[in-house]
Amino acid sequence: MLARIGLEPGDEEFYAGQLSGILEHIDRLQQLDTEDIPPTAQVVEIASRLREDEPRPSLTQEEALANAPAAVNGSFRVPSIQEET
Amino acid sequence: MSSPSGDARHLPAQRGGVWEVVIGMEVHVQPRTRSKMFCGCAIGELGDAPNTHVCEVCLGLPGVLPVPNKAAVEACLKTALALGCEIPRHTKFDRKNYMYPDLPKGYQISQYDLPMSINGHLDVGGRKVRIRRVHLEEDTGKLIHAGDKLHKAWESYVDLNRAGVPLMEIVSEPDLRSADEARDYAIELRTLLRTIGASEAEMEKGQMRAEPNISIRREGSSELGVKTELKNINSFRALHRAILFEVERQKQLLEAGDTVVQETRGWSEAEQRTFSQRSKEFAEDYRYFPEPDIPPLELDRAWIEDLRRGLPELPAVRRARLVADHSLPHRDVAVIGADRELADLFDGAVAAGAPAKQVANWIVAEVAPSGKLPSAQNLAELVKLVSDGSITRDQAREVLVESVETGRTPAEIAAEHGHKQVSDESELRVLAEAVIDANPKAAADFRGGKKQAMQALMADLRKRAPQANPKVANELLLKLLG
Repeated sequence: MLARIGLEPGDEEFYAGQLSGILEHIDRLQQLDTEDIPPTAQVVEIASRLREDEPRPSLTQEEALANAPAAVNGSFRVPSIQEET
Repeated sequence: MSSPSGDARHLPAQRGGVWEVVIGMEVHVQPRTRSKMFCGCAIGELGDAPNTHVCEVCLGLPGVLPVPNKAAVEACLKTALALGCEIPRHTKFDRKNYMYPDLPKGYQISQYDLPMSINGHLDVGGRKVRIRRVHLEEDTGKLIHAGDKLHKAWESYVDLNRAGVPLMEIVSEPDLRSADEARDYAIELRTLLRTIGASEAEMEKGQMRAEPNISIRREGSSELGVKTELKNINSFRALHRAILFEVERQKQLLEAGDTVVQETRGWSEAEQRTFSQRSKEFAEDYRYFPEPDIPPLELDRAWIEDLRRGLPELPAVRRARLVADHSLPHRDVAVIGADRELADLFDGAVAAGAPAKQVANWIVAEVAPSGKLPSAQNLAELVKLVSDGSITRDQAREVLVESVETGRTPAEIAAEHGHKQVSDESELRVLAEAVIDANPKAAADFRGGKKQAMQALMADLRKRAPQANPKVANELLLKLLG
């Protein structure tokens, strides 16, 4: 599975149109001749930005969990991903 | 499937002949750093309260910028250099995308097509194991599963303290041929990592994780069989057992005419078996693409050469030197060569004038098992006190323990306890006669030809007089009983 997008009934056509548009655009890009163009991983002209190994204060547990839909005993609570055995 | 230890499926090898085991290793190692890979959160300890070493960056909140940790990059480069890898001039980070709750961003920052290093090797017991690559990435969080099977009400709890902790991934080519070799490879790798100071590499603490890729094929075949990857291995012993189990499982499948499924399998320490970890949620297509938030790294040659020059003597070189310079036997070299602290202690004590073989004996027999190291100076002094006959070995053992505890010199401690060795024959003769009188049965046994009876007599003699020179005392007993 590559993505999981929740859709309300009736929305399918709306999103199908958008996704098709994106795919068509990708197809258009595929037609460009990129033969002599080197692969570009970055467009900014900076390199080798490293950070010294200095610990800095973290968030508190309360802050870390503040936006979580659900939390239990200091942990994020999520639906099970465990397979039934 | 049936248990591989069962006999029902065990068929004799078919016309293909003997099976050959083929193992490649992926080893994840946590470099020695104080902070995480891309943010300043401290590296926590096992057992810390959940989600107390997290920030906007490692929680994957929107709008944050990850910045690589220089110490982690250096540890990775040193490891690559120690493994004889090529270091390219350009390297970059990539996003490896997959959906799993232990990965808050929905991707792991790793390295894909331009890793930090490639094409190295590690010599393990005379076999050259090729290293495909060593690259840097970040660890994921930890999940705890809980719930009620009956009501199918399962949920998982996520602790992100580990998320973003730096990891080096060391990938070997499939050059290992047995569980023994795979374990020895992992141990040698740990020795190397500790020697160069790149990692503590404690498997039990999760600082080193070994994931063997295992397949089998008929000997002589040049094609690789279908492989499985094993995870959840927490010790060298578990690594060895998991491979033995998996090889046997694959043999039984193939000999029964079944096929091996390419998959990830987990090792269960409790059940001592591997089990399938296939998950329908898990995509095999990671959709790697360059990490747009981290500029590429240009690996400056002067920096690389500095790191290379800064490497200490590597374990293989050290072992060769221990043999060449000191003619130490294999057993001593195996112990002393595997631990940088022991090797430094050996070198220091020998430099301080103690005889090499005796220093090695003391390190192998006393220091290494205790795990507590005296200073090189004190060990040298102790060895000299024994070798010049000033104190006995038994006395020296006690002195060593006290010297390690207090840091005081062996000569001081020996003098304080009045330790000395008595080699005077007339004094020892009286003692030997007393021992024979007190142990008539042992004495009679010895005279009757039971040579082992001497051990009991010597034990009693040393109990009565720890300071007695055992060699002289033994000769006297032999003479008196002869």
